Amino acid sequence: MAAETFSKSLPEFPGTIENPALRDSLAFLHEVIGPDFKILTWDETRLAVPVKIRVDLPTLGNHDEIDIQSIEPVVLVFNLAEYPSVSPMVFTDRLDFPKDKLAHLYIAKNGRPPAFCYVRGNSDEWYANKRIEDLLIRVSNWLRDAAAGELTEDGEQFEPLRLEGYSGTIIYDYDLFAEIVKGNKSLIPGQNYTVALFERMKDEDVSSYKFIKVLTLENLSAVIEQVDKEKKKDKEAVDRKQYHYGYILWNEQEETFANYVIDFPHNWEEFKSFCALYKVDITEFEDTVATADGNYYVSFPVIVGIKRPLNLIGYSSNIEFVNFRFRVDTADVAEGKITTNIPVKIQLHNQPLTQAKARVISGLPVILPFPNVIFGCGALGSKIVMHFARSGQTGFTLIDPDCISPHNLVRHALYTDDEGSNKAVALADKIKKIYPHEKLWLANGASLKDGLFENPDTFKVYKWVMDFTASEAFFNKLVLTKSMENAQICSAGISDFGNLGILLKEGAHRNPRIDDLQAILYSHYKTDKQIREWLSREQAANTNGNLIVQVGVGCNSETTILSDDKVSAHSAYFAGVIKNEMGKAPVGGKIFLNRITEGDEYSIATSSISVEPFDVIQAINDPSWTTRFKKGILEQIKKDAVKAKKNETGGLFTGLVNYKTKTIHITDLISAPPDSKANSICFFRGHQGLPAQILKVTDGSGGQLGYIGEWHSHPKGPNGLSDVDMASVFRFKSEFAELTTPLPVFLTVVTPAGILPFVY
Amino acid sequence: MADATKNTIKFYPVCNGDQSLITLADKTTLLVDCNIRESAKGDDDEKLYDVHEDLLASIQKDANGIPFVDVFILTHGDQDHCRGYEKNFYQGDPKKYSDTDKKNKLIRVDAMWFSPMIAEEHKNDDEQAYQKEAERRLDLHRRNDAARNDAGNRIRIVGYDGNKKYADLDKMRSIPGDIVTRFNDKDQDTFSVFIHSPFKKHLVAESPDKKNSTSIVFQARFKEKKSDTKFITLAIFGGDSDHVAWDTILKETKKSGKDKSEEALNWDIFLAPHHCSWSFFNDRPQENNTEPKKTSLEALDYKRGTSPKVIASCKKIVVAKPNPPHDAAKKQYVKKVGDDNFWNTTTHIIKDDTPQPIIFEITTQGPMKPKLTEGAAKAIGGAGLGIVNSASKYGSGNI
Repeated sequence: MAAETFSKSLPEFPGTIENPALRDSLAFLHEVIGPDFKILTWDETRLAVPVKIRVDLPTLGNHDEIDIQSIEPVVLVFNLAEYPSVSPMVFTDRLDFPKDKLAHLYIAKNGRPPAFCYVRGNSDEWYANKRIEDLLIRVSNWLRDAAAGELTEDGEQFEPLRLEGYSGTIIYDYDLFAEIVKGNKSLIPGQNYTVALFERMKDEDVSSYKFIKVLTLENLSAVIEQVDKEKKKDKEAVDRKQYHYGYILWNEQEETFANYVIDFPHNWEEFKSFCALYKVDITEFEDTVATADGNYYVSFPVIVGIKRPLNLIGYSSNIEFVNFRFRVDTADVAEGKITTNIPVKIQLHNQPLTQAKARVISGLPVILPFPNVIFGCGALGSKIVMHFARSGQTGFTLIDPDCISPHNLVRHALYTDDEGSNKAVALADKIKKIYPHEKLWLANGASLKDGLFENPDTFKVYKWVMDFTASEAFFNKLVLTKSMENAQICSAGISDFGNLGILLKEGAHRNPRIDDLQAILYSHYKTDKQIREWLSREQAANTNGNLIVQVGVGCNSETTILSDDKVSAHSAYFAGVIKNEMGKAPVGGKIFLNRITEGDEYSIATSSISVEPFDVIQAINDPSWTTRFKKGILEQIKKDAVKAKKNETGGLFTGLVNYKTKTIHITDLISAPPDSKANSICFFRGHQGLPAQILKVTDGSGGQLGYIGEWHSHPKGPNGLSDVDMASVFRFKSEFAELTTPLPVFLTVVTPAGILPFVY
Repeated sequence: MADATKNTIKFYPVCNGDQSLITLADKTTLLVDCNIRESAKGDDDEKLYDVHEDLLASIQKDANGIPFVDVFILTHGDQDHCRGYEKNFYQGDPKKYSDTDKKNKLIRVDAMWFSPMIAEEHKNDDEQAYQKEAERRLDLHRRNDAARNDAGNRIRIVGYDGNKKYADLDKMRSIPGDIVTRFNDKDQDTFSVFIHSPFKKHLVAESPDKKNSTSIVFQARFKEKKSDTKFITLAIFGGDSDHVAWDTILKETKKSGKDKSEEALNWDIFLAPHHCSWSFFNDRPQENNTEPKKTSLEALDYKRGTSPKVIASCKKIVVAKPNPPHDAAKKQYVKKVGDDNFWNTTTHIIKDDTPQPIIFEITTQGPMKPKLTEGAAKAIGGAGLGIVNSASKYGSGNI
């Protein structure tokens, strides 16, 4: 016997169809359906076409004996004006369709049958690349899956109700509410409901609520006081909070329910039927609402927990919550009952974001090593911090002495509401608001208190120390700090007029150190034209007295010309690099470069340079000076000394000297000039062609590298400087002292006792 | 198109012949018989489905790009069950598979299932080639050759010996009543094969249809999970077995109690033996033996579920031309499962006049046709289009 169909009640469509795409699709359906083809009126803007869909049924019978038949009547509903941009809706046409057994059905509205949820996601988007034929196939497959029990994505879990037509949102932590239901944790023992405090969210068109806390007998009076305090505030007060008492109801028995509803309650009577369906007793709840409800406002949230046979898809337990908003005035209640058929609205549940969820969504579910300390929460630092925080990595101590100024808004992660606030404090506050229900390992401050920086215990706990200060002074401080031996240190900045992002990542046990990496970066002028040109531009800018952007200058200055998109490009790269490096065991050092090229085309390219640990020797005569040799240099001078056999030999060092850190970085060698002479006891270093060679270094490196010292060998000793050597030292010293920036005299002797550097 | 993550069974349209492919979710493939006609390849005959091309697309390739089936089960050596074996499957030392072999798209059979019946009578070239390849592999195993267990050298003996003896290789033998769970050197948790036939007494009997009596008959069994006791699909592959064989299958299975303990006779899919021949029901000619044997009807009563399927791998069934298929046989099947569930490989799915394979996806509710494939709103023509591969003429005159 043919099933009773809903479409029988629909009138024929009387009008003409102007929409050409709709006409095409209807013509196709006419051809498929044949003489039974009918166009009916669905409503003012839509028409309906009944179609019989052939369904392949499983050999062993339908799953759960669900009544899906080999021919299923459905109604395709087309929007007259908006088709095909608006996809057709598909409704079952069978009045006895087994709607209570299926997920993936929308709520029935206005006495209509339920619609199939035939696409996960947006059906309009899906239909943009499909034809009407494909929709028929999709519906046939949907019904096939329903018959085979394969409609649910994961058969081991329960598909929640398909709701729509929400009126407002309610934010609470699912796990917390599920625990209340599973543990029958009622406010008054023995009852099947509890009360929680919610705050109505401001600036929302419809009432939306945010969960604050569950009421307990212990906190009851304090909560009432808290609510009263807000009530008493002036209605227009900016800081006045609108608190609402909400109710969470459940069935306290263990019985579970697999059935679905597609007729959702719109009023009190229907709500009672809904609760009865899932055996949720509303007697005590109704009595409380009618006699003891403490709500100042007429609307409040009511959340019903349904016990399902399996864990819900996407949730940790089998409790499905359906969220309502009640509107109960004093006239609606009498003698312990709700006497008016008050309206009931469905609310959308939003889960507050957790760090774990953020990590999963960001594609990096693991917790990266923490805690870490970040110095500098300016434009670059704030963006890097937020990249970490948004991806659920929040184990940071944020340090920055500055406050947010209006001009910072051009390229900072913070907004106007934080103007005047300390950057680190405001940033930490924003991060905490992302994860409002979680306790974060997140600290902040304007600076480390006096003495803390050098205290060996201060940095013991930190896995990574990150410098985004763009401060050369802080860079030097980091270099000199002895209390960070076990931390992984990196320093990032923006140079080259905002076009070059540089991240220096130290090696294990701080070797190579960030200042070594900087020297190595400069030394790459020899092989990398882009680095050569960059250093040249920096030199020119300095020479012109133009201090807008230079190596390591940050973004806090109003006069710094640098767009937000460029800072974002660099910060995204740095965040990605650091995340990646955090997952690896520290070995050598590395320099990461992010280069933006502007011209006909705007492009971004990245590169990296690996750097082996430096050979570090303190000056023999003055241990306050440290000499740091790029890997390979000492081996080379040893080889040269051996090659010279009995004779002395020597050469020159290039690199840079830093008085602040009292460090000499040796990045390269220059062989002894051809006019040099040597015998077994003497080395006469010539100078033929030497000026040109040094000029090449200073020019190529934009003045960052140059002559810094010399070496010679003592094949037969002495294991120190000879009188002749010392005479040279004095001669050099007197000349260097006259320089604008005096250069220390740096002589290294290769002796039978080893390599001995001297600094005067 | 079938879901690649699911177990599937595909019955190829090969007229009066058999060729079925079982594909497990882990991509393991079991080919049951082959009937690859040269004329079906490419565009030679548009009305014949190109089973060779489909098979190549359905099976895996190894790291060197060599196509392979994990297991080839030849139920018996009749031409319509092994046609094309010699030309399309690689034979010989797998290490010597050459670039030319690859170019010729030769399929390596990693493990072959061999019935000693083939050793009794090998009357066609393909059967002889299969026998020769089996003997090559068996020899490696006899000699304990180091390469005997390599892919392409593996072999399982199914059933008892006839005149030729393989008793020294008994460890590689499966006999009726055995359940096989290891395929191509890999254990399967949720798939197994119950061997039903051939029986010794049929091998030694003298009868004109001896080959058919001694066909390998097996039940393919699928579970959802290893720990399940319930089978989600049971499919019986009857080869060319006749009512005599089925009489023994029923008796022996019931005697062993495995009809109950292993559900060994139950089925959701039943590949009608001998291309829907009357021989499954009684002796031929049907006119002289019009009553179906009780045991054959009883075998069909082991069907399960609401819509068990009988697959007739044969040409279109017409009353006038019985030999097989027999219309009388079809009627018996239809009586048991209904017309809607009797599917003929030649007529069930036809696209542009060409019969298409019947594919089942294994679901928790039993075998089902795969979901229909949706199209899209955007389209392009591919290199395989006929018009791309042929000349086009325009205008009205001759060139």
